[in-house]
Amino acid sequence: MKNSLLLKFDSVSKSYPVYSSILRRVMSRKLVLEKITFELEEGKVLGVLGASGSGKTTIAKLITKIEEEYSGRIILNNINIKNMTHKELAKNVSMVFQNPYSSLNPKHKIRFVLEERINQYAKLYNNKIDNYEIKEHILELLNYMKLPAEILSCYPHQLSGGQKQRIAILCAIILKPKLLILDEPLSSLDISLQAQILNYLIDIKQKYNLTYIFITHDQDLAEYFCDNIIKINKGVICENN
Amino acid sequence: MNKTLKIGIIIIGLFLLVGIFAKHISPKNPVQQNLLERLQPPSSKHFFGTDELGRDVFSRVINSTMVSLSVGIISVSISVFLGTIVGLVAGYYGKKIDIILMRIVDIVLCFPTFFLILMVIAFLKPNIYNIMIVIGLTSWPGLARYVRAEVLSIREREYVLSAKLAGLGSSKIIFYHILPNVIVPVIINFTLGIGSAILIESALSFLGLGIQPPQPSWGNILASGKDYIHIAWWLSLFPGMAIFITVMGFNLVGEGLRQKFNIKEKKL
Amino acid sequence: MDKKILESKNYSLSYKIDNKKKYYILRNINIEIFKKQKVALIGESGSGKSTFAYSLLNLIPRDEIDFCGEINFYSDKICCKKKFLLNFSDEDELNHIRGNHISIIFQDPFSALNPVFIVGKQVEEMILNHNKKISNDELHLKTKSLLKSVKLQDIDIVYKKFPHQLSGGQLQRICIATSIANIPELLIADEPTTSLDAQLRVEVLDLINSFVKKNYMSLLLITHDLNIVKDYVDYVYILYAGEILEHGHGNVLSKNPLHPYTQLLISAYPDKTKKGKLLPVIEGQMPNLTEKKFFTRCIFFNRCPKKIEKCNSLVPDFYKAGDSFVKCFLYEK
Repeated sequence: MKNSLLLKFDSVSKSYPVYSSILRRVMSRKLVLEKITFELEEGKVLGVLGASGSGKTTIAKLITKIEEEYSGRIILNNINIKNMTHKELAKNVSMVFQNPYSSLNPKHKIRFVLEERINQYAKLYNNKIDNYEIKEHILELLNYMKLPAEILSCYPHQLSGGQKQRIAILCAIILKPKLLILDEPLSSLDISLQAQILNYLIDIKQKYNLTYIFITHDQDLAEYFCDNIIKINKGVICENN
Repeated sequence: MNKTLKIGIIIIGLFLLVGIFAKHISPKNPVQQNLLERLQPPSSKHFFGTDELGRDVFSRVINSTMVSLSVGIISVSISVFLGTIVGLVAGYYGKKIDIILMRIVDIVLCFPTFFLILMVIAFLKPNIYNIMIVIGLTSWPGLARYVRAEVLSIREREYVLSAKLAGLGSSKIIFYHILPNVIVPVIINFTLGIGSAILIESALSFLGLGIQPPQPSWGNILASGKDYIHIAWWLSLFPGMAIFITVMGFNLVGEGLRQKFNIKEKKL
Repeated sequence: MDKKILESKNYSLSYKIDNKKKYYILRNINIEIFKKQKVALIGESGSGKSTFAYSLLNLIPRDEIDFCGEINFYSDKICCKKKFLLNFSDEDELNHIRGNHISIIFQDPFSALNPVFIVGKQVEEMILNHNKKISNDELHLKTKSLLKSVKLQDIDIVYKKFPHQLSGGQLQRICIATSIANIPELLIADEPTTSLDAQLRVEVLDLINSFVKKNYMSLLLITHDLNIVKDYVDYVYILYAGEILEHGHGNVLSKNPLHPYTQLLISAYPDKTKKGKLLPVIEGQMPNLTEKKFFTRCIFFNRCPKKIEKCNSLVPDFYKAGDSFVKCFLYEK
């Protein structure tokens, strides 16, 4: 059985304006993505491989509508994402960022971070959720990630890099998205932690029936983890297999 | 807690106590004249001496503490509130809102603050409430600019992006995710601002546009003392000292807080 | 066998935080580096590998730390064969050694260069610092040839750029140029590739390697990634939580790791052949280095999958197994 199509890039180009130094007039436009076309089926892992500056992170920014000006079409779940509100998008897409040190707000305790996401989930789907359920849900999540319950009252700077990245992944999956974008989630972690996080990612994918876009610069890692890989060089897809 | 902060808090605490219990502490009625005892130097009867109308300077200085403190605190509350909100909104939304708000900031910054205050006071009645509001409404742009600059960098942080991705509303992101990260400079600005607000109030009163006699304030005691400075130094010295020590107290607290939070930020 | 250039004998280092807890960062480190030898020190974050590198150059603020043991540096260039001890007090002589005899490449090229000077000047400054009599023309020529030798293109343009105008790869090349400007006898590279892309990593390592070979330098490469460096180094030390667990020849060790920790570390590396399988994970966490009770048993005890009873009560010695030395009771004879 062929899986249904989740995400489709249809000749997407993105360019940034280059301003002149004095009058801030647009001098020229710098192309970062040129006619990117690919399709992603549900339940697959797509690797986006490229050196820094190749435009691979820009793809993530376009899907998540952090950058909104581009040409071409991005179709998610048969809807053009230009017609989606941020809230609708949040039901479909989540993202884990590269740096676990800045992906958690330094002024918030872990408990608050998780509660906020669970409340947001309830709000998005118009569910009512009481405090007891939230508590249960948090403990269940921590247990799944083998994190001790004590860290709930910790601030992010008291956690290790691996713990922070696990919390960041939890935050992303609480909203039960269909598509999870992983932007170099391992590059700032040690090898033994990389293995741990990778194993969790594989497990979560099955448990929540997720589709991944895995952005990385590491060929070995991409070949280990991904079903399809697109290689990007200077904004152009140069290999697709 | 560091030394600077401790000393500052002790100073301000003392002044607050004096201000609150002024009526009980002051040995004489601050407005009662006694022409027989004009311009007496400090003695055991009048700790700070008496003024040209024979009023007890010690009682007058004590009774004006609350005026100065409340002008400082309330006017700075207004300016910090305005500055933070404008900075947050301009920084977070950017684009046209940012341009409009920042031009308003530029306009307010263009006017010399003191001149603006004098102008407004000239049209309104120079009473304590108008002074608080005017000082508050003219001293926010600096903070607004500072907060905006901070917000510009914080809104690109990954935790803000991920909150946006989770579909959280703008107000939630601003108040839960961005504000806690700029609150430290805001608090420091608050304490440092109180010192300068007290100075502005004293200067206004000195010029006769602030607190109106016979109600005493440090500024107008100083003002009346200037005519007698050759024969009665105590008239200028003691209210001047009071201003000096209070402003220093608030500055010490501000500086102490800055040191305290700086160290903490480094550890993070 | 070539002459020894650096050795650390029973070197231990600890420091206090907030005057309360004492962290035993490094314990009984014995490392030897010979002339022309390339040595890798491999450890995860928190293992103390950077602390070790900094203490070789005496870059750690002295008032906060306690240390014992010694670190000796033997040089032919200094006439009287000075021993380079940790409690070196003569700042001038220390500065002479830093840069002239030992130099370091830092992890992050973005913060290793001063953002307010053009990069060319920073390379020149390094040359000037250790050779004050050089003429201006000579200096200029020397800088250009240095920049050329690290395979930078458009040298005249790069020379006049500020650090923020250059890419990470270019900056790291410039950092390499500054650290080899005076052809040191020992080059320390502290994670020179972690902030770079996979492709650039190989290029930068190749570059460092070719320099070390050409100028008969010794190299101490500090990294967390055994797989990348195994082809470049002669000898490998595995550092875990402040102790060396295993040391041996690079290729032997990566093909046939002996210590359970090294085995896990190597098998946890993802590649094509392991596709579809879960990777082995080292469970648990590194022990808290403030508590002395951990030092009376094998330091890897709490995470070790192959532990035996003995490990809990005794600290293993180094046992020779094949060509490697392992600190594990499994190899006790």
